[in-house]
Amino acid sequence: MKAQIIGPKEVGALVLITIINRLAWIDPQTLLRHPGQNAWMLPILALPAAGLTLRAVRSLAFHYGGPINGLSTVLGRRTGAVYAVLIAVWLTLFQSAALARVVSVTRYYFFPRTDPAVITAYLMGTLTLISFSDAEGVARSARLMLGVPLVTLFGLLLLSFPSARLSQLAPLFGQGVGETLASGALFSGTFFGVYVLWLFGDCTGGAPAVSRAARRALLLGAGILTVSMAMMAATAGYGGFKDAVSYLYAMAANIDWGRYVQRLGPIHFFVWYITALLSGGMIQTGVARLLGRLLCLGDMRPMAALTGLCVYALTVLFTAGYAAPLSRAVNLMSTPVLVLLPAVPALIGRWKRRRADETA
Amino acid sequence: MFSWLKRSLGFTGGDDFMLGDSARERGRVPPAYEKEREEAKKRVFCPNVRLGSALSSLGHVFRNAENDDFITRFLSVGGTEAAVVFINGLADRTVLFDAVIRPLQSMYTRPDPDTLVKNGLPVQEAEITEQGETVVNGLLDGKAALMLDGTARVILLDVRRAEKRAVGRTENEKVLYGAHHAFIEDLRTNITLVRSLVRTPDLVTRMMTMGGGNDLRLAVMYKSGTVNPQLVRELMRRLQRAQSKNETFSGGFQLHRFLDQRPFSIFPQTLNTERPDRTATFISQGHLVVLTDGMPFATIAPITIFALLHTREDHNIRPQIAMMMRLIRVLCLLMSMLLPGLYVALMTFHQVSLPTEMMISTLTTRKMIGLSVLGEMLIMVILFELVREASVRVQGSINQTLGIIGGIVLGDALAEASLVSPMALIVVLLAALCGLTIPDYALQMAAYQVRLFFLFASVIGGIIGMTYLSVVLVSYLCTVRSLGVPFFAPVAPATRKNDGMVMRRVNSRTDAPDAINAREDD
Repeated sequence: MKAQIIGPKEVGALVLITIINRLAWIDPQTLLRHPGQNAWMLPILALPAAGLTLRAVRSLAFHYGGPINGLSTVLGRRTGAVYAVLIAVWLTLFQSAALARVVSVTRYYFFPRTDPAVITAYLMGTLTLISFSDAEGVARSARLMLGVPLVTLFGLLLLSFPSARLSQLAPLFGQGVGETLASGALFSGTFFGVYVLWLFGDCTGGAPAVSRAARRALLLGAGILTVSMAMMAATAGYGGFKDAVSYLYAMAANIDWGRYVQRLGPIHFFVWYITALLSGGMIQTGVARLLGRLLCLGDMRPMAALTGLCVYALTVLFTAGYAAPLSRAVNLMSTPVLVLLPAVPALIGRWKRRRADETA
Repeated sequence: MFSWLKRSLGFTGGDDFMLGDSARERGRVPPAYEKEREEAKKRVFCPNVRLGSALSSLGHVFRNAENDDFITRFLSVGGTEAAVVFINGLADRTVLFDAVIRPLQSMYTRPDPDTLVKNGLPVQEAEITEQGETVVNGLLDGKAALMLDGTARVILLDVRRAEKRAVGRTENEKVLYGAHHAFIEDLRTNITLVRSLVRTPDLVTRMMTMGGGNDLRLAVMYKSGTVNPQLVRELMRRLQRAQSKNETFSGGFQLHRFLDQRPFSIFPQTLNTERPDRTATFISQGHLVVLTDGMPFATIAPITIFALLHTREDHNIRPQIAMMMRLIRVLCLLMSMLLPGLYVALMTFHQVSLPTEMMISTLTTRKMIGLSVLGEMLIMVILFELVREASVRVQGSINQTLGIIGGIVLGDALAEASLVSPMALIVVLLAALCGLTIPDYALQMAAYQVRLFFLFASVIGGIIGMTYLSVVLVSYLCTVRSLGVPFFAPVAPATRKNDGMVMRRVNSRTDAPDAINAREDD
């Protein structure tokens, strides 16, 4: 019996928090220009890809436990190690691209005169400290803090309801089938939280309840995203900040409770940074665990610090615009890579198991 | 460290004694001390058939040449030379005279140790031993040693004198509904108090001594059959490891040094309570309790953050009200840590979030304040801690006066003198008030320190800085364990049967929370 340090509720919370996190960084310009009235469909269209990823990840976690064990069993020791390094590199790039966005928004709203490198340093320092608490700390924090973004989002949607116009929502494929499907496919990267089952596989014990919790969280998260994005599209044009970078910020800043509180934006970000930090912490911890296990390290903290340094350097480059093509490529490739990375070893593993059964 | 320099410059002359120029500073133990230490190790009492030799050996152990408390009373019992040895003050002289010396003096036959123990001496406990260490420990416990010429067997007689105060009222954990008696400094009395509340044969008490220098007694109590045996093994392992450290142990509050898995954490990982009824509840739920001689508190492990936020009264009032009180305490803990930081963040970075009227009025009151927002908050926070510390140290009646002077008069004077703004005063007092609602003193102190961290985080990054710190803090706390039990259990990790925030119906309550893997009684 493997140790189950992370239970179903922690895994579910982590998956959900990474999905909700995506909402904070959807900017009005992108929302209105690109998917526009079809925004509400994107999570639904992206769900099949996310479901495939979850299936592959679940298969690996269930049969082989941790990622290193799974990869070395399925692909062999050397190829497995190379594949693990590739995963680590991809996740580092993915993390850097996501953080570059966080840094840009932070700078735009709060520290316009601060050097982005300094803002990135604060962010990376915090993320590295969080990842020092390992899978246990990150997953349990998600479980403890999940209520904060959920309640805030619920409140925000309720408060925005009076200014929503349902006529602004396109019923189906308003932008055309091709464009809508393309937008939906690009949106699949939002569901990267399901990797928790794989990256923290040796902490979850491979219990069926854990993968069940991840599946439920995925569906619930997709539902929440659908409703929230529908509300974003329905309230578009009513935000007080046309040039806002974050749509949720615009919605929150538009709420005024008279004598009690006005322009909830900054306080609202208190909530969204929680999701950003926990999502980032999950990825960084996952990479550190992956590399730490590969090098047979007892303590994964040096690897977490090293990963932090790499992410810092890449984020600074992305923010400054020096590596813009790379950043764009990472964003474009997020969906296929998200699905393929666990799918390849999962399929090979399945084929090997089937062959072994036939031989037997 | 610079003693060679001092010597060469002539500041110190030869071997003259000088404070600060300690052996440690010189990096070596002086030969004289070393010799004495080696001799002390060799000083062992060996019972001897010759009374003179035995007394000499025992006297050597207790340094009778310079120790006036070591008393030897010579007797002649039935023509045999005998001696009664005891430590002055620890043994009861009246009992010793009436129950030991007088009967011995009236004997006319040659005494035999077995006969004396069975028939001769009317004391409650008597034992015969030939072990020197047992005799030394017995004397330190307040027993008297009867040694007879011609035999190496020593009779230890229980004539201990108990100097203790009566069981008093609780001082720090007062309740409106509930018992009012508290632990005292006597270990035996404390064990009895717990036993009177946990009336089951499953209650186990394991005695042991701690400390290389002073061998203080302590008792580990738990309910066998309910407690997880792994927890008992882990606690005993830690205590035995502490025993082997040869470190002077002066009381129960030092236990945390040995029991904490993260000794440098500012958050408590054990709970100290002065209430026997609370201790009994913890024992019934499968926790371990350590009682120490000389300490009117019980140390409880493992604990969770929710245990630190509970009070005994929660069990004595209606569940709905108790649950509300628990939620208020959680809210107070958060406010105590976050409020000053939030004020600084709002005033420094996010003024737009304040309603316009409030923003104008707050900024107007701040117009004449020369200090920065952080400066005035630091002044107020430190001032409040000064008042709190002073009011804890001073005697009874002045206590309240000091609180009034510190809290109201001084705060008002500071606001009048335009050193701090009235809003800052309100925020700090509110945070302090919230802090005082936390039932556990160690957690109160931790909240105070975290409040300072949040203050600095808000100065650096406003709300964003506070968010960063709060996520780091939570993820750190999620890795803290008390004797292997996660600090945030039963919420993270979530467990089915728990004693967290929600008070259940009496029939649904559990005496064995899953978080500590306690086994429920049938």
